Amino acid sequence: MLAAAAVLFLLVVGLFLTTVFVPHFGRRVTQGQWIIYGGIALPLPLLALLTFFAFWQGEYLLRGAGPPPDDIYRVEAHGTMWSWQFSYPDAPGKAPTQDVLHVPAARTVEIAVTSGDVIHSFWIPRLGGKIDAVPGHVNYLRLRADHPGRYGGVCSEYCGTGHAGMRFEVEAFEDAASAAESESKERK
Amino acid sequence: MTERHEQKLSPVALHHALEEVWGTKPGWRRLATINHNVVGKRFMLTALIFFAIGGLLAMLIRVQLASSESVFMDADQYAQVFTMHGSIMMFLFAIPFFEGLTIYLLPKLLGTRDLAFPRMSAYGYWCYLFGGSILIAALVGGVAPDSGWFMYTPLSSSTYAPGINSDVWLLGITFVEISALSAAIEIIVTILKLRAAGMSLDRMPIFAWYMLVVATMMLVGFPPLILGSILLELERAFDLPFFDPTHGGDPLLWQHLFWLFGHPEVYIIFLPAAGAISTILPVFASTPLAGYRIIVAALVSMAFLSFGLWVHHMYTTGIPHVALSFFSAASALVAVPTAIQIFAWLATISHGRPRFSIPMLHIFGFFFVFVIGGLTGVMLAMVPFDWQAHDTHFVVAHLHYVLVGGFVFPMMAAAYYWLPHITGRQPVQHLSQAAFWMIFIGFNVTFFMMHLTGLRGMPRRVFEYPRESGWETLNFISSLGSFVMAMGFALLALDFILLFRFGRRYHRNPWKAGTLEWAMPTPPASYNFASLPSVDRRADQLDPNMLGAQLAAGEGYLGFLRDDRMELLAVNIVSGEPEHVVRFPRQSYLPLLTAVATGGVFGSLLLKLYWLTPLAFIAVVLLFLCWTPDTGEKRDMHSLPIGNHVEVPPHLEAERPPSWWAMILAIVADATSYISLLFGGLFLWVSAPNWPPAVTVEIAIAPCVVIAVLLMLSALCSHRATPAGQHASRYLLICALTQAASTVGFVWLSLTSVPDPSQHAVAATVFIVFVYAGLHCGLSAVLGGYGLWRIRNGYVSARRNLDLRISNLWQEYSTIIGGASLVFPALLASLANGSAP
Amino acid sequence: MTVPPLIALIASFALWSLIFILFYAAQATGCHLVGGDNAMRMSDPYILRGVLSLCVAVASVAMLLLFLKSLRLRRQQPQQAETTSSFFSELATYVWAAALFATPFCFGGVAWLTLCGT
Ligand code: HEM
Ligand SMILES: [Cu+2]
Ligand SMILES: [Cu+2]
Repeated sequence: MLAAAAVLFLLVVGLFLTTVFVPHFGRRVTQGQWIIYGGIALPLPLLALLTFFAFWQGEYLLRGAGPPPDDIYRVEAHGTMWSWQFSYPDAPGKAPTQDVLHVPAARTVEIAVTSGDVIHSFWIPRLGGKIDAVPGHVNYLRLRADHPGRYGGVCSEYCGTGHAGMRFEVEAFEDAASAAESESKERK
Repeated sequence: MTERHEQKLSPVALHHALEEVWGTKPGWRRLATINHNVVGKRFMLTALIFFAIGGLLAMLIRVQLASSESVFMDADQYAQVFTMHGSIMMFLFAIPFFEGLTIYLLPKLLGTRDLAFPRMSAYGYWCYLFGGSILIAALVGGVAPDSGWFMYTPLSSSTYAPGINSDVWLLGITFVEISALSAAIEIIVTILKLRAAGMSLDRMPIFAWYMLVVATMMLVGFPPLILGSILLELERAFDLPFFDPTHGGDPLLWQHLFWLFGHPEVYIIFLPAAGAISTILPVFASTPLAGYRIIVAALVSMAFLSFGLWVHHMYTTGIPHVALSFFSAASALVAVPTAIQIFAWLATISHGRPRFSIPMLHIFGFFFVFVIGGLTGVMLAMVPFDWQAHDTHFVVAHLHYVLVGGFVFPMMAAAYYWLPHITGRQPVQHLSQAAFWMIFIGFNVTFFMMHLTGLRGMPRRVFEYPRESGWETLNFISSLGSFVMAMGFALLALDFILLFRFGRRYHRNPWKAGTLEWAMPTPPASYNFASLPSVDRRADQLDPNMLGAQLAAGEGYLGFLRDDRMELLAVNIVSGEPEHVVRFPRQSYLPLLTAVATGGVFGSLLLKLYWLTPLAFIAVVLLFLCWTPDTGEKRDMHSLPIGNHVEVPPHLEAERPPSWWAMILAIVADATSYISLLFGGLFLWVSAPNWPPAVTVEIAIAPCVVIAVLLMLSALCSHRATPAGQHASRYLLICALTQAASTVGFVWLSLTSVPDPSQHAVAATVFIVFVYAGLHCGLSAVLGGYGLWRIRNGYVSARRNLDLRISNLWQEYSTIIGGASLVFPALLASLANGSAP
Repeated sequence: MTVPPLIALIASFALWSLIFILFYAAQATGCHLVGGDNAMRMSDPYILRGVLSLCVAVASVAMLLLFLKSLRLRRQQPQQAETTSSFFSELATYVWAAALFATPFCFGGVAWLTLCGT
C-alpha cells in the first residue's frame, strides 16, 4: 500500500511538473483521455482491489488474526479514568489485575472491553487494532500474541487530563504454568 | 420615477449616483453597511486573525511536544490548547474565510451587484464575530473548551466536565453556525437567481458550480451539528439524557450527529479551494478549463458520497463490519471525483501554454501536499488500517496534509491572485518566493514526521510521552519544521502588508483572465458594475477589458438609479433570462442590533440566566419583524424598465423571487435537523443501553386529535388566505389562532405525556419532539399575525402577495411537522415498551 | 415528463442516499431484533444476511433499469450540441453512471462480511 501510494504520488507530482515545464507535453493525449485514464481508469480498479482486500483483511483480523478461533481465551478489560482493570472469566480463581494484562501466547484472546465513565480506547500497538470502550456497550476485540513477551498498551481516545498516562502492559506467557508463576512472583 | 433614467448619465455622474446609495458611509455608520464588498473583507480579515490565534496555539503544541516529559504546559492547559486550536481552525478560520471570499467574489463572478440578502450577510458577520469572541474570551480566561474539537460525550457532559468550558464550545460554535447557515442559503439563492442576463447554468463560471454544491452541502450538513449541540446543551443544562448511557442515552448518538456534519465539513472546506484552483489554473495555462461538464458531474457525485462516509471516523466504536463496509466503500469511491478534478487540471495545463508565477507556485504546493493527504486518506478509509492508525499522530498528519494542502495552499494562491483585485495593486514579489518555500518545507518537515510517530504508536492529544518511547527525535524535528513554517507565514503576512503599501498600480485585468470580476475598476466600487452585463458564452471566456468599458458607460442593464434604491436583476434559474428586478432594503443598524440580541440569547444560556433567555428570544423575533417594512411596497408597479428596452416586474410581484427560494431552503435545513432528531430517537431504541425504559410515556389520544384538526384547519386557512383575496384577513386570523392553539396544545402535551424528561432518553426525546413542533407552530402563528399586519398597512395586494406566500410555505410545513410530531412519539413509545429482549 | 434539470441531476444519487439509509437502518434494526448485537457474535444470522443480500441485488437491478429508462427518455428529446438541455442530459448521464456503480460497490459487503457485533 505504501509503495503504491508513493508511486501514485510521484506520478501526479511528476505529471504536474512536466506539464508545466515541458512545453507541449501531453498534447497528443486529448483532454478527455487525460480525464478518463487518469481520473477514472487509473484509480477505480486500484480502489476496488484495495477495498476488497481490506474487507478480507478486516474479517481476518476480526477473527483474531489466526486460524478459526475455536479455542478462545476470554478476558475482560474495564477502563476508568485513568486505568484499566482486567479480569479473567476463563481462568477461575485468577485475581483481577490492574494495568497489567496476562494472556497466553499463540492463542486467540477475546477481550471484552467496557468503560465505567467516559470513552476510552484499548490499544496494544504491536498486537493489532484498537477498540473503543464506550460506556453502556461491550465491545469485543480478538488478538493473538504469537510470541511470549511484554507488549505496551495505551488508551488512544482522549479521556481527560490523565489520558496520556493511561498506559498498561500485556504479558504473554508460554503456558498457564508460567502465568501462575509470574503471578505468584508479583504477589510477593 | 421612470423619467430619471431615460436621460443617460455620464459614467462619472453615474458612479457618484450609485456610490451614494450603495457605498458604505463613514464613521459610525460603517456599522450599518450591508455591502458585500465590505462584509466579505471583514469576514476574511477576521478569519485571518483567528488563523493567527490558532497558529499561535499550534506553536504552543509543538513546543510542548518537542521533548518528552515536557513541563511547558500541564495536561489541562494542553487540553484547552489543542481543543481550541482545532475548533478555531475549523470553525473560525476555514469556513468563515471561504465564506468571506465567496461573499466578496461571487456577485462579481456572476455579474451582479451584491448577494441576495445583504442584511443577512451583515447579520451573519456579527454572529460570527460575537460567537468567535466568546470562544477567544474563554481561552483568555482559562476556561476554554477542553474535550477535543469533536466534544465527545460523556467527557463533555456535565458529569465529567462540570465547568463552563463545554458550554462555551456548544453555544459559541452554534452562534457561529448561524452565519454559516445563512451564508449557505444566501449563496445558493444568489447563484440560482442573481446571475448576469443570458448566463444559463451551463455558462456559469466553474467557481459558481463549486459554491452551489458547497452551499447545498452546508445546508444539510450543519443542521445535524446544530441539533446535536442543542441536545447536548440541554443535557448539560437540564439533565435531558440524550447521550447519557445510564439513562437510556447513547454517547454514540453524539458521534453520529457530529460526524454526519463533520465529514462533509472536510469537503465543504476543500471544494471552495478546489473551485479557486479551477478558476486560477486555466488563466495561467492560457486555456479554458478542461472537462467542465465532467467536473460538475464529479462535484455532484462527491457531494452525495461525502455524506455517506461519516462512520469512517467511528471504525473503532464497535460497529459491525458490514456497516463499516458501506462507509469504507463510499470513502474509497469519493477519491474518484477528486482524481477526476486533478487530471482535469493536468489536462488543462498540458493543453495550454503555462506561465509560472506566484499563484502557480502555491498550486504546486497544493498538488504536492494534497495528493499525499489524499493517499493517506484512502489508507485510513480501509478499516483494518484505520484500526491501527486511528487516533494516532498519523491521523494528525493526514488531516493537516488535507487541510493545509487542500485549503491553505489554494487559498494562498487565491490571495495572490485576487489581492490585486481587492487592493488595485500588484505584488512586487520579493518575499513571496521565500515565504512559499519556507511554508512548504516547514510544513512537510513538521507533518511528514507525524506519519512516522503515529505509525510508531503515538496517540494524538497526549501532552507528554515517555522518554523510552522512541518518539522524541521525530517530534523534535516536527517542532523545528513548525518554526520554519511559522516564520514563513510571518513572511507571507509581511509580503501582503507590503503589497497593500507599495504594490504597483496596474490598469485592468493583470492576469488576462476571462471572468467577470475583472470587468470592473479595481479596487471595485461598492456596486461592482455601473450597469449589469449580459453574456452569450461561458463566463470564463469573456473579454473583461471591452466589457468593463461598456458596463462603466452604462450600456448594460440597470445602468441608472431608480427611487434611490439598490436594484439588481434576477434571472430564470436555468436559462438566465431576465425575470424581475430585485429592490434591496436600505442600509441599517438592524443586522447589528439583531445580532446583539441573538448574542443575548446565547449569553444568557452561557451564564445560566435562564429567565433572560425568553426575553432575548422575543427581542430577536421582534427585531427581525422590524426588518420587514423596508422590503415592502405600498403600490403595484407591474413592470419596470431595466434598460435596453426590456421591462420586467419587481420582485414583490414575481412568482418565485429570491426570498421565496430562501424560505424553501430554510425549510430544507430545518427538515434535515428534524429528521435527524427522529432518527436519533430510533437510533437510541436500537442501540442505547438501559432500554426498555422503566418510565412509560403515555400520550392521550383526544388532545392529539384536537391538535391534528386545528393544524389541518390552519393549513387550509393559510392556503385560502394566500391569493390575498377579499377574506384574506379573516382566513389569516383563523390560521394564526389555530396555530397558536396548536402551540399551546404541544406545550401541554410536552408537560403532561412524559412524567419527567430527565428520567430516561425516551421521555426526553418525546419531550423535545413536542417542543420542536410547538416552536414551529408558534412561529407560524407569528407569521400569521405578520401577514395580518402587512395587509392592514397596505403592503399586500393580489399582485403583491409574496409575504403571504412565504408565510404559507412555513405554515404548511409546520403543519406537517406538527402531524409528524403527533405520530412519532406514539411510535417511539410503543417501540420502547415492546422492545424487551 | 418535464423534471427541472437540477432535480434530474441529483435524482440518481438521491436514490442512492435513500438506499444507503435504508440499508444502514435495516442492518442495525435487523441485528437488534435478531437478538441483541452481541448475542450473535459468533454465529451468523443467515436469514438476515439472505434478506439483505437479496435487497442489494434488487436495488442494483432497479437502479440499472431506472438508468436505462432515463437514458431512453433523454434520447427521445431532440438534442443540439451546445445547449443547456444537452449540458444537463450529459451531466445527468455521468451522475447516473456514478450512482449506479456506487450501489453494488457500497452495499455488496452484506453478502459476506460480519453482519452483527464485532
Ligand atoms: C499552522 C500550522 C499548524 C500546526 C503546527 C498544527 C499543529 C497541530 C498539532 C501538533 C495537532 C495535534 C494535537 C494533538 O493531537 O495533541 C493539531 C491538531 C489539529 N489541527 Fe493543527 N496545526 C496547524 C494548522 C492547522 C490548520 C490550518 C488546520 C485546519 C484548517 C488545523 C486543524 C487541526 C485540527 C482539526 C486538529 C485536531 C484537534 C483535536 O485533536 O481536537 N491545524 N495541529
Ligand atoms: Cu482513557
Ligand atoms: Cu471523514
